[in-house]
Amino acid sequence: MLAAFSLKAQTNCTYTFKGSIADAKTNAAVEATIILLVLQKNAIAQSNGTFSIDSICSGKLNFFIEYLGYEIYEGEVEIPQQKPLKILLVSKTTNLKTVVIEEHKREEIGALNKTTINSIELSKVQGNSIADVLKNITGVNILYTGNSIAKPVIHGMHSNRILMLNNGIRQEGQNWGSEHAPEIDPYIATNVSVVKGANAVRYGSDAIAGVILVEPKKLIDIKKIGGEINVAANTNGKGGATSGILEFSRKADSPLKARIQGTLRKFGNTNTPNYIMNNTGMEEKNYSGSVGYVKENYGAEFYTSSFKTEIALFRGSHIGNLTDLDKAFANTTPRPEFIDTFSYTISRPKQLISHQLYKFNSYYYNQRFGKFNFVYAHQNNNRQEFDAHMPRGTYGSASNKPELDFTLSTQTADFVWEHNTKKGFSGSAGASGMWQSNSYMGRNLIPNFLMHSYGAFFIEHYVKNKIEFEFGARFDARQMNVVKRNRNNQLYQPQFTYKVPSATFGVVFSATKFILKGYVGTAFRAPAISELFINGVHHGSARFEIGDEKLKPEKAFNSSVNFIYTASQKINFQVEAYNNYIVDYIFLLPIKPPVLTVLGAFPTFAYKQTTANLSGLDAEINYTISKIFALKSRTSILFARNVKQHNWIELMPANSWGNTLKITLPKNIFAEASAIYTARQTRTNANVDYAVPPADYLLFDCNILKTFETKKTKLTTIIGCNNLLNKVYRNYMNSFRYYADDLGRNIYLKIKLTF
Amino acid sequence: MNNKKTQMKLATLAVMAMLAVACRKQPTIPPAIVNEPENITTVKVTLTDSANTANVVSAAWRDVDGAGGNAPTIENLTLAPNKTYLATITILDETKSPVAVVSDEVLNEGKDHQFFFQKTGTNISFSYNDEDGNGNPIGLKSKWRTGAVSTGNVTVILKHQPGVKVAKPGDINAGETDLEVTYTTTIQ
Repeated sequence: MLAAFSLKAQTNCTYTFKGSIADAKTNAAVEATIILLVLQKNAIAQSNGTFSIDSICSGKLNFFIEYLGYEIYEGEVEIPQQKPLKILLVSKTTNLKTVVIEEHKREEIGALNKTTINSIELSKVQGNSIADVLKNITGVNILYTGNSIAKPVIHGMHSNRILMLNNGIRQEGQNWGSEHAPEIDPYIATNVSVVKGANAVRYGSDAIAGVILVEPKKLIDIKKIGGEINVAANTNGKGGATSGILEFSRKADSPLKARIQGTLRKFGNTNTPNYIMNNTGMEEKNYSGSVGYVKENYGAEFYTSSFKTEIALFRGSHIGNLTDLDKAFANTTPRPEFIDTFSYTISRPKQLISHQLYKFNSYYYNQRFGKFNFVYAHQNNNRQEFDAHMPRGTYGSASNKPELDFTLSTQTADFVWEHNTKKGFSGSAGASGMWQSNSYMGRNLIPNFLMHSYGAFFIEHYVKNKIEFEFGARFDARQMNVVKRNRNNQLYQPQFTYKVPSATFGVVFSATKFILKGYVGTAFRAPAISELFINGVHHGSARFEIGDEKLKPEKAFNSSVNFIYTASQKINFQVEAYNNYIVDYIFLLPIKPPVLTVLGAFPTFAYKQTTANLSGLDAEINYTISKIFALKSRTSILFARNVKQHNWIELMPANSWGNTLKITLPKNIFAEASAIYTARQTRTNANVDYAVPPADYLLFDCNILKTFETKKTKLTTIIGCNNLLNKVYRNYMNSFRYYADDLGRNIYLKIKLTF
Repeated sequence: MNNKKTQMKLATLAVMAMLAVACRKQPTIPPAIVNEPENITTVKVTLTDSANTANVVSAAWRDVDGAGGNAPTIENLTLAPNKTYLATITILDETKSPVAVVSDEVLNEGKDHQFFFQKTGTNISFSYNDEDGNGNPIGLKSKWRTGAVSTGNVTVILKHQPGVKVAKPGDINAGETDLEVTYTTTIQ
């Protein structure tokens, strides 16, 4: 290990350490962790067993590979590599050791700009919401509604502009609303990744900002009876989560595998540095199960998951009209009846959401024709929103009914063919269909509709020496039939048809001093049902919003350049510059006069289209100070312009700068201390928002992690703290910034037992 | 080997699943159901001259198509100077058949509701003329005492104050607004 340090400073550090990991006996891929202790780097092999670690210096490189149930593999490799390593892991019962050399492996198709959270980082954030899990990825922000509703934001875009794939299935909830969080249990995942940029070709329409992939462990990787127990406890909200996974496989090579998983999360009222916010608790109950007959060349699997959550909304955020909102701003602390009572009770206003997924997939691999994959899924999403006020009249008096009740039912079918790699070419082609219906009860907000979507795509990848090319194209057609009643109660049934092509082109160039990735992609997004039809007051924001049936699909033209440079053994950096040019970008334009209602006049906003240009920079520097200390610094800058109106697009994340000091101690102890600075958002337009964006703030976080290992089990314990100094602040990306401070100090304990 | 057989079985299953998806009957469009909770479409103020009960003045604030769409129609109030009027507020949902009287519910939930009256430019003073079960004012019934000739506005505000309604004269800042309507008012 010391050998790596004694290398001269001018050694070239732009190489990639590539290889693949498999079981020595069965040759099945193993998603093991590759640890480069000296470089403070680690990576997890993909589901096909391959891994690739950038910015490696020439010379001898020592590494470890570990995976539960296998002997730890200790190896040494000469960089640059002649060929990727093939490493065979030996299950703890046998003891073979071999290194076989295999042919060059390509980058994953259609995901040139993919960032995956490794298992150690994941165990630090599991127990939070799925969006919170993603916030450590540069370029990803979170849009909050209070503390329990969180949505990921990629390069300034969220909701319908991001596609989430939950175990390979498009997550279809009522994701048009900023206070509608994704219905996904983070404990399901062993892999959470973000693919930034327009990625319609591989993943389908709507992905104009990026794609989030939440993937459980592959069934085929289950080798024995085992599992995982997770416990997370937090001081803020006096709550936490507990989750368990049980896996079954009679023998490592037995094709019949199964897994069950379940999670409970519960929080009471959370506190800001100075007061408790009443009615901010939540409760969540999730489970999933999977059973499959899986072989290397063919298999079939059935998967089901259920997600159910009840979220209390801070009473002080539910305002009746503009006068109430103005009064809420004027108060530095919310009214006394809204604060300082701790309770686990969830009362109005609240949300009650459930999401069920049933998935069937099968695959078949043939030496001559390649791999065929078929997936069918059915999802049922129900969202109920309860206002502060019980509904009036016979509708409400009968029971404690929600004011809004939507049921979205979605079926998807995907067929993908991957052809065999031939002369450097690899690729896939496929077709997909989606059928969706929405029905509502209660207040008229969005109408009932029935939608069909069909798409077909192909994508080709070519590798030659240091250059990789990728090209793909896709065509989508969508038809939506809407049924609603007009103001005069007459039936109105408009029909919408959208036909949109999209394409992608990417290049990766690995030079001797650096790696350069260039990417150009297009994607489209059909207008969301709310953007077409909403006509009413948006609760909590005191805005009257007016939809427009004539909205056209948004078309995004995304380009990005990713530059990875290793200056020396100790310093490496990565810069990503991106530009997302969006034609017919849908946004809310303030219009006059304000709409007069029985609650008084409301500022009025109409959905309009413009040309938007979102450009920015994500940068990351890693500096290894010594064997013990390392520094990581991240910066994100975003400019979101409304090109036609020559002004800013509102509600974009402010610039941020995060620094983390990593400390590696003996006996498997790792500690981290972070300081994250968020600037005041100054790129806003005058007189649009009710309150000026909140001031800049600096937050400190810290955590310490220790792992204990026995032959059969591994225990990871983490103690950490968020907002260490109990700083009073308000976050521009939290819609509750109008009403209350953000969360105060939270100390957490997380325990993960893998067996 | 057994494998070939299983392979065939699985392939058949996959094809069947595909066909099931492709050939399945398209669901019919779900019907639009009119099952909305009650809304407030109409707020009517009726003023009776305490000295002469035959002298009744009223004004209605009406938005039958709900928020947005057509603008509300608002009638003006014309009062005589130096008189005491007994005021009654009626709140209706005129989209329902029969018309729903929302003010009855306000009366039933009197302990959680209170009206507040505000004026700009008009010489009127307001006092409450009803009580909830706790002896605190509701405001469905009130007394309006007019002063000298003047022109301006009267704003009627209804606050929903579950658990936070305080003793008289009440707190306009507690709870959230259920309605807030303004009438152009002339005292002549």
